[in-house]
Amino acid sequence: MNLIDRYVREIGRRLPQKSRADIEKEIRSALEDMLEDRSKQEDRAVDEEMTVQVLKEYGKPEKVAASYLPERYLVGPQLFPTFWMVLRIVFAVLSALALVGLGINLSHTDLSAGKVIETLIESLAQYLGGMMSAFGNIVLVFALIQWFAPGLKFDDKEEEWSPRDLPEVEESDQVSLAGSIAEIVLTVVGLVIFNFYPEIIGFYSFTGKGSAFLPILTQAFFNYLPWINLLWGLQIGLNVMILQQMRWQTGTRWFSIVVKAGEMALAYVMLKGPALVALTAEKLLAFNPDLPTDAAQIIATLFSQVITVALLVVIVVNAAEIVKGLVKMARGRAAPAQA
Amino acid sequence: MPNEISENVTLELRRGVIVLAVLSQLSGERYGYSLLKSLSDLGLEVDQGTLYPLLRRLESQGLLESVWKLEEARPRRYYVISAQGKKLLPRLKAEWNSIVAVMKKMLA
Repeated sequence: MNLIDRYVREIGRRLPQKSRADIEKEIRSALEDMLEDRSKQEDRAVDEEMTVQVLKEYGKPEKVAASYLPERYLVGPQLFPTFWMVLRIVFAVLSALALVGLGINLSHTDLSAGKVIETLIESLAQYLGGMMSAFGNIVLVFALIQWFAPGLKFDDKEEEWSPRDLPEVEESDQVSLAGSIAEIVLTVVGLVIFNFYPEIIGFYSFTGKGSAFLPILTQAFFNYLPWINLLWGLQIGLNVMILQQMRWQTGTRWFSIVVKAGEMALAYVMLKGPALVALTAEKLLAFNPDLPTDAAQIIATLFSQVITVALLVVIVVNAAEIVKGLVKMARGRAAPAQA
Repeated sequence: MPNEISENVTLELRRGVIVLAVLSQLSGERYGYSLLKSLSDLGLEVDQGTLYPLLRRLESQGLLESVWKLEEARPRRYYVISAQGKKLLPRLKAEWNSIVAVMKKMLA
């Protein structure tokens, strides 16, 4: 088989079956024209050297074949922004879930260095596996959309589009000064009370014989204090950062998501763990014998439920805040606001 | 400016012109290589990798027609402008003249 046959075949095998023979025939014809012309110009018969030269000028087979093919995509430029947004949201949600899962796993292991490292490695492997699987599935779905609906235009709303509908950038990214300061102050107060004055969280009774104290929270609650300190410390750091910048940015949004995911994990562990409220009807009655039994029961149940509801609210609100932050980032509204 | 960028920008600039050049030169039947030489003789260098796929695309758009002919024991595909191409050509020429006039003013 001569060089031209080999060259044409190499191009042909990269072309679709339907047009292959026709394009091969045309390229062969063009090469023969080129060789004839070259032979006349150089006044010598066509030889292998001349053929090599002409083929080199014509170009690499893969490049020539590509010039006959339309641009092909697994996920095309029209779908890509949507694909990218979905990918970022899914990855961020998976990351948040992985953090929650890690917190739960750690809460179930004894905190020896070996066990912690083992749990960390297992969680990381699960996380990476989950990410790969999610990536593969998202690509598959978008590739199928690209394949079956290549002309689909996700953003083609030109007819209904009005500049007045554009979202307010300022409102979205601007930081509430009062809100941030209040959050810092309340968090600091909470930290100081839990760490230095835990004895004030309870009921006092002053009688002629002295004072009696009935604590509301159990020791189990105070066992979580290092984690509360860490997360609230991070929350204070975050508030200080956004006060300096005076608007949300991508970095602070991610920071916030991590802190909120951590708080969710901790709230979940606290919900599942031992009782946090030390108050019982019996203790209340022993503390104050004048209290009607019904009232003592109601007070004890109320405190227990308040804590449960508060933890559930933390989980739900933080989940909503995480999704809100992710959507804002996905819309790319955090980054341009830096300008 | 790096050479690669300069070449890419020049290539982009010329790409749109080639369609007009090709349509204008195919009032009579021509095969690919003779068209290439003719464009080159007139001062427009186009490489094979651009011209042949372009001819096929213009044909699939209905602006050109083609027929295989056997000449000197060699098959050659001859292209010629179609009726639809003939309708489009004057509009493209007018557009080109307008672009040239604007660019002349702009670059003066």
